[in-house]
Amino acid sequence: MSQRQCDFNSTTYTQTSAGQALYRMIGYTDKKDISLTDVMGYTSWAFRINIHARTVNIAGPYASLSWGDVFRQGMMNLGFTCKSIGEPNLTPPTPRQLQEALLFVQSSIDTGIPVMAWDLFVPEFGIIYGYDDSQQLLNCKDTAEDGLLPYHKLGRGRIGELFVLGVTDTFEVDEIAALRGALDMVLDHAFNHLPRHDEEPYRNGLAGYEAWIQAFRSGSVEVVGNAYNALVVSDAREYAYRFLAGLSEKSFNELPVTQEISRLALAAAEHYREVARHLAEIRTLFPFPQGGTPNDPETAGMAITLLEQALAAEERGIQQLQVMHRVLEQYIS
Amino acid sequence: MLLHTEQSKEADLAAIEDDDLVDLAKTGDHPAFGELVRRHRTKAFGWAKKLTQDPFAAEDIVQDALIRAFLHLGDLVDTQRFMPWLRTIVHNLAYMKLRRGGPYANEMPFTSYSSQMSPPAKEQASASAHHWDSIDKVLDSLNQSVTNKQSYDPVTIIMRKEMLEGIHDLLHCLNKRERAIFESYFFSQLRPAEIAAMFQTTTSNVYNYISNSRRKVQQERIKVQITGYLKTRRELGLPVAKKLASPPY
Repeated sequence: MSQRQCDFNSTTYTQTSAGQALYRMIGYTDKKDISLTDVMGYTSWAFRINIHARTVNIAGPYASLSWGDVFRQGMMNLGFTCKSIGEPNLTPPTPRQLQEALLFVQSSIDTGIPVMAWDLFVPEFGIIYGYDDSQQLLNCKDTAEDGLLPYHKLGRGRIGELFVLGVTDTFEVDEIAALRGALDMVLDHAFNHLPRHDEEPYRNGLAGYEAWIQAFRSGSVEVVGNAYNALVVSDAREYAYRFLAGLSEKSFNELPVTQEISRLALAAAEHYREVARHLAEIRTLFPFPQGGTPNDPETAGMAITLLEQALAAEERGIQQLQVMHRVLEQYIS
Repeated sequence: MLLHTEQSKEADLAAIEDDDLVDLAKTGDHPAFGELVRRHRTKAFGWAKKLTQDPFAAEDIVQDALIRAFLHLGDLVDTQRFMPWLRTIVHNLAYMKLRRGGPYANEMPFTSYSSQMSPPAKEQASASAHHWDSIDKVLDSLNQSVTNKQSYDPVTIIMRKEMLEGIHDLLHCLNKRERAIFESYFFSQLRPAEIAAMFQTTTSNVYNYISNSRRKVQQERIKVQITGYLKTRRELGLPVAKKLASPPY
């Protein structure tokens, strides 16, 4: 795809590997018709941004989060109960944890559903969809490779930490409750700082744009990390636009609240389309993985202008979503 | 006649100084080690009893300490260090016992590993193979004595037996020197500086050996765990392999 252009037509691939892995997993369940756009929207991944205010480093998108909680909560909005083992703690699993994870992975695959896992071939999310005890090998697919991984390598990839998540049950979701659940997550992410155990200056939501601008101003931007964040966040916002545009056409069982949701979703979608356009230009300035020259003052100046425009548009989008959230709350209560 | 020879040999040993006995014991001379044990058992028992206030616990500790002393004897460079070193082992064991309310009562290294490893590789160089044999023998006899001992409850016996078997299996992945240093650290909990002095090397080398050994032991532990897990899967009749269709996107 051309990096400069928004690619509003891609519906089966996202640069957010977490969303991609969840989507792949869902493809094996009784809800396999759920679109990637809905996965990105209802799990909140289309709306996320997390930026290191000094370096814009490559760890941003998945830093500061309790993965298990965020993925489980997001999947609930789609009608899935999930279980996870492990967390991002930079610590390889003990032999016992590895055994527990293998048992969970194999049991899930036996039921016909792969599991999502972190750092299989590269530090991104992928899925494990097969196993062979006689060879002690797992069939895995992530953003880099579709191949075989030895049992003992699970949780001992490039980073050396274990995380697996699998679907344990599915249930019928109420569309209104699901949307409200998604907006709970999106608005929480937009406004509330994710606490950390260390002092690393990661900022999420609207503050994430300000952190990004601050990093450009200080000239301390990591070239590859910056390009990676531009790629992930710009792609995510394209899904945010598509999700909201799709929402505006949903019938919600002909409920009276439908018209109001439709109007607000359409307005929000326009703002997110604008966010996506500005971010696509950022992506063009700093193509991944070469990354361009983010610390060159002139380029940084252009980037700052684009980020300010993206932030302003996202603020307007978030305002619409806040109104929608209030409407849903009133409707539910 | 035979009796006479043994008696005179014992009398000879009694006349030898500690340092010379340690040197002799290092060459694998069991009577010399026996004499060392006889000489220092009382002292070691005294230390242990003072710490634990329990003659039975003290007896166990001394036995453990002496076996550990024997395990390490071949690597002791400075014979003058034998006594301080034995004392350290006795102290550590006693504290461990006090902390845990019994030998390894609640916490047990290596207990979770079944002994599914293949037999040790035979391709070791002859010198090191000899060294390994002797440690293997000590572990075997320890194992026997654990099984025969009636004073512990069965759970303790099993746990202890498993620990010994576990150590036996796992240490085979290390070379001789790594193993000796790892054991010093693992069993005696000596400070790296003390180990360095004992093995005439630098502290940073000891750190390297320890971290290298830990890594190897860790890899071996994982192998053992997976092997045990797969054995259990087979016993439970769980599927051996399953592959879902590769995801299309």
